[in-house]
This record gives sequence, C-alpha cells and structure tokens, in this order.
Amino acid sequence: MTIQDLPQALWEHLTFTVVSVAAGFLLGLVLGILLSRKPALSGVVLPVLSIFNTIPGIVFIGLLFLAWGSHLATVLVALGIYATFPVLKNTYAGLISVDQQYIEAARGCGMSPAQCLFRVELPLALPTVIGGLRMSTVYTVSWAVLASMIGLGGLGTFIYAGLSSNDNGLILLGAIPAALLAFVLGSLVDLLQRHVVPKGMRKAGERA
Amino acid sequence: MLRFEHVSLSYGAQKIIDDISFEIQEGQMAVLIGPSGCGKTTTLKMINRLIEPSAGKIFINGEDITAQDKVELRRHIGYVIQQIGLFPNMTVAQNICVVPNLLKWSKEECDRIVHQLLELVNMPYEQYAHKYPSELSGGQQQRIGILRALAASPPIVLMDEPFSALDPMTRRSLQQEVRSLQQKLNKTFVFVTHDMEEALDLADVIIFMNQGKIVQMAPPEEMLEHPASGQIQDFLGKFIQAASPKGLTAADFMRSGVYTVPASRGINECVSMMQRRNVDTLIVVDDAKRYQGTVSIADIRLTGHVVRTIDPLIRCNTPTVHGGDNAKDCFDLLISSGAPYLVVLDGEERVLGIITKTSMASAMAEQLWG
Ligand SMILES: Nc1ncnc2c1ncn2[C@@H]1O[C@H](COP(=O)(O)OP(=O)(O)OP(=O)(O)O)[C@@H](O)[C@H]1O
Ligand SMILES: [Mg+2]
Repeated sequence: MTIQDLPQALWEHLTFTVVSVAAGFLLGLVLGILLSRKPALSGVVLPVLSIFNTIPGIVFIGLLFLAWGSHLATVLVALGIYATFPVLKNTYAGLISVDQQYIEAARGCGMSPAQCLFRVELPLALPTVIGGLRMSTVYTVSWAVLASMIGLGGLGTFIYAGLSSNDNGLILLGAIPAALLAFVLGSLVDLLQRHVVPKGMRKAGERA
Repeated sequence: MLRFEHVSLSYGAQKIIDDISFEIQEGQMAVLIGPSGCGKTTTLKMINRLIEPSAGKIFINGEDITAQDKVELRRHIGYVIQQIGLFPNMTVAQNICVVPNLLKWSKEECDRIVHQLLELVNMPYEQYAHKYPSELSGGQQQRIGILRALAASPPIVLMDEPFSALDPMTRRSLQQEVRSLQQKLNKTFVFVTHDMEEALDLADVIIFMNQGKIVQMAPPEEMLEHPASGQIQDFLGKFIQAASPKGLTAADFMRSGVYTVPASRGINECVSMMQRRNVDTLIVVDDAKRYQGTVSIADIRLTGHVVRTIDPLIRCNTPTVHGGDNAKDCFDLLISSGAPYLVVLDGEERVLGIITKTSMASAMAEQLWG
C-alpha cells in the first residue's frame, strides 16, 4: 500500500458512494412517497426501519458477505440500503409536514392526487428531501470504508492496512481523503439544494 | 343555479349538517354566516366535494354534482380557502394560472389572464407577476388568492372567510373589490363569514346557520327587519335598528315613569311638588288616569291665588302622540311645535311617558352606538 494506490482507491470509494447513494435516493424517495400516502402504515414501518438502521453497517455487510460472497453487489446493496434510510425518513417527514392549507388549496383547484404530489407536495418537501440526501451521502462515504473489509477496495484499504500494521501514516492516508470526500460531496449536495429548491421557498427556508 | 336538497352530514353519531335545503340563483352573492362550528365551512366544501354529504343531493345547474368527476368539477368552481394557501413554490403568475394550466390552456392565454386579472386589483404586472407569495403583503396575498379562484372564469366561486386575517382598512377595500368583481363578472358567489357587517355589505342573500341547520335565508333588508331568531338579532346587533329607523316608535324615544297629578289637587300641593321635582309643568290626569292636559308654574303664579284646585288652569296646548306612532314624526312634531315635550299616550289615552329633546337624543345615541 503506497500513495500510488490512492487515486485508484479514491475512485473506487467514490464509485461505491455515488452508485449506492443514487440507488438509495431513488428507493428512499419512492418508499417515502408511498409511506406518506398511507400515514397509518408509518406507525409500523418507521419503528421497524429504525431498528434495522441500528444494526451496525459492519454486521450487515458481514452477513451479506457470508450469504453472497465478495461481490461488488454485496457492497453496493449494503451501502444502498443504508443510504435509503435517511432519504426515506426525510421524504416521509417532509411530505407529512406540508401544511394542510396547500394540499386543500391544491385539491380545491382541481389537482388530481398525482398532480398535487408533483406540483405542490414534493416541491414543498424538497428542502427536507435533499437534507436526507446530504445525510445519506456523508454517511455512505464513511460506510464505504467497510468495502475493504471484504476485499473490494476503496479508501478503507489504507485504513485497515494501517491498523493491522500499526502504521498511522497509512491510516491517515485513507482517513483524510475520506473526510475530504465527505466534505466535497456534502458541499455538492448543498449546491444542488440551492439550485433545485424553488426561489420562493429559499427565502422562507432562510428565514426559518 | 346551486341547490341543496335535504343535505345532511354526520361524523359518527354527531350531526354536523342537519337536513339543509336551499337554492342560490345565478349571479347572486350568497353569504353563509353563523356562530363558530355551525357548519359553514363544511357546507362550502360539500359544494366542491372536498366533503361528501352522508345524505341528500346537491345540484349545479340541475345536475347532481356526484354525477361529475370530482377533479373536473373543482376545476370549474373557484375556491378561496380561509388560510389563502398560495403555493410558496410558485410565482404570482403561476399561482394565478394553476387552474388554467390544469385545463391545458395555452401559454398566451394564461399570460393574458394574468395581465388582465392583476390589472383588476391594481397590482401592476411588471411589478408583481414574478414575485413569490412570501414577498407579498397579507392583503396582496389575499388578492392573489381570489384571482387564482377567478382565473379560469368559473361560474361559481366559493370563499371561506377570505378577509378574516386583515386589518379593517384593507378588508373594506377588498370587500369592495370582491363585490364589484362579482357584479362585473356576474358570477355566483358563496361567501362564508362570521362578520355581520361584511354579510350585510356584500350579500344579495344571507343564509344564517346554527348547529348545522339553516335558521333563516333572506336578503339583508329582510333579515334586518324580521330577524327569525334572537340569535340572529344578536348577530345583527347594532345594525338592526340603525339600518331601519322606520321601525322605531314614539315609545322607543320616550321617557317613562313621569309624574302625573289628578285634576282635583290643590294649588299649594302642586307648587311644592313642582319645586321638589324641579319641573315647571305637571301632567294632569282624570280619575281613570286619562290625560287631561298640563298645568304650568307660570299659570299658577298668574292666577293661582283665585282658584283652589288646578282644574281650571289645565291647558291642552302640549302636543300628544301615541306609543305606536312613528318616531321620526314625533321628532318632527317636537321640533316644529316648539313645545318642551310631547306627551305619549296609550290606546286608552293614559299617559305612557313624555318625549323631550333629551330623551330623544339619548334614544338616538343608543341606536347609533348601542
Ligand atoms: N373531521 C371532522 N370530524 C368530526 N367533526 C368535525 C370534523 N370537521 C369538522 N367537524 C365539526 O363540524 C362542525 C362544523 O365545522 P365547520 O368547520 O363547518 O364550522 P364553521 O361553521 O366553518 O366554523 P368556523 O366559523 O369556526 O370556521 C364543528 O362542530 C366541527 O367541530
Ligand atoms: Mg369555517
């Protein structure tokens, strides 16, 4: 393990993160929307999810590894599932907390349930949804360290190698880029936030 | 135009709307009023099927509204919700054009509507069309809320307390705007309020509700003249008499409990009574308490020494009226006769009271300020 391996590891790490966050985001968004249509279900679904969420990532990846072996899919699925939670929760919370007056106005104007969702509810929930995406991105960068545990590379390789050889330099060589990656990706999401949130709501958000 | 037939709504055992039937004519401004929780909002929402009645039918232009698609129905009924509910993610122009967009009108058409409607409420297009609701004042938001309801030219517009959150000045000017819009566009409006002044100002017909029932449905003038219940009277409060002075009578303006003396009383007794009460005339009645006339201190001074009782001194120059006489006529009589007071009599010519300038003024003040 030397510094020459860093770009490769960084690239792998980035790929794990982006792919699983993208998948997790879509899944979380869809599930969050579905759950918000049936708020009665959330009383059951959300507690179950949060119990699941408390299973440490390392345990989950380990179990999945035992079942599936050392595949890219193992890592992506495990990370993707973890990336789903924050988005799901925030999508649900964001949609549920859309002020009833807007929904009533939308229905009163003659929007169908789908039109109401896409034209009013989702835009209004978007800041919260993107907040979930941000959390999910930052977490996934650190969870992706676990990929090296089952021999699939990423920045975790440096950290594990450093830990086993007591080489602090190696640990830092993995940890610092990981931290930077989290920071950069998080900032990108912030940028996205500023772009996709409608202007009229940015003001409201800033005031809040 | 809009007809309710035996419409009821229950939540569980609770009857929210209890068998209401009414009809609103095309082009009318109907105002729903009543105490909080009486079912006004519920009634309104049943018109655009945000709430479905548990019994009865609602017809628009003779057609049962349940026969139409809900979503389609709502696109042809303007709706202003109480909390305004402008979409914060849309500009003023986009908010106004929500319904035209849903109806897939062309972009040019939508643009034309925005121009035209903003002009109607004196908000220049260039200045406001591309602002977001959060950048508008409460009154401006309320205006846009109303324009959104009008944009697709629906034949019926529903408004749920659209002005409740405004200061009196803005409120009055918006009321006038709504009234003139409604008349200009000749639309049927159903307007909810719990402000009687607003109702009297705006309504062609007022529907007064209480506990899910219609207590009275009448034009404002009729409701003022013949309120169907004490509660309506309370709601009408200060407007009821001020707005219909015709109904006032002499009895409303008089001071009752005046002192009378029998004609057989002695002069001295009368003089001391006048001094005690600080009056310069006394009202004289016969044994059956019927009005005879008045005696004045001036006459007593002049000729009191030659008579023993007041009987010969009685004069009938004080004008008399009857309790049920029109108050305005009494007022005119009091002023034109120059008499210090009028004597008010009942059907048997017994004295009910007197009307003085003071009693008249205080009665008027009471009518005016309550
Ligand atoms: N979902 C509901 N479940 C049970 N009762 C309800 C529900 N919605 C409204 N009510 C009751 O129905 C009655 C009528 O409500 P509604 O909102 O029509 O009153 P309102 O006349 O508009 O009152 P306000 O002037 O306060 O707005 C109230 O007593 C209310 O408590
Ligand atoms: Mg209400």
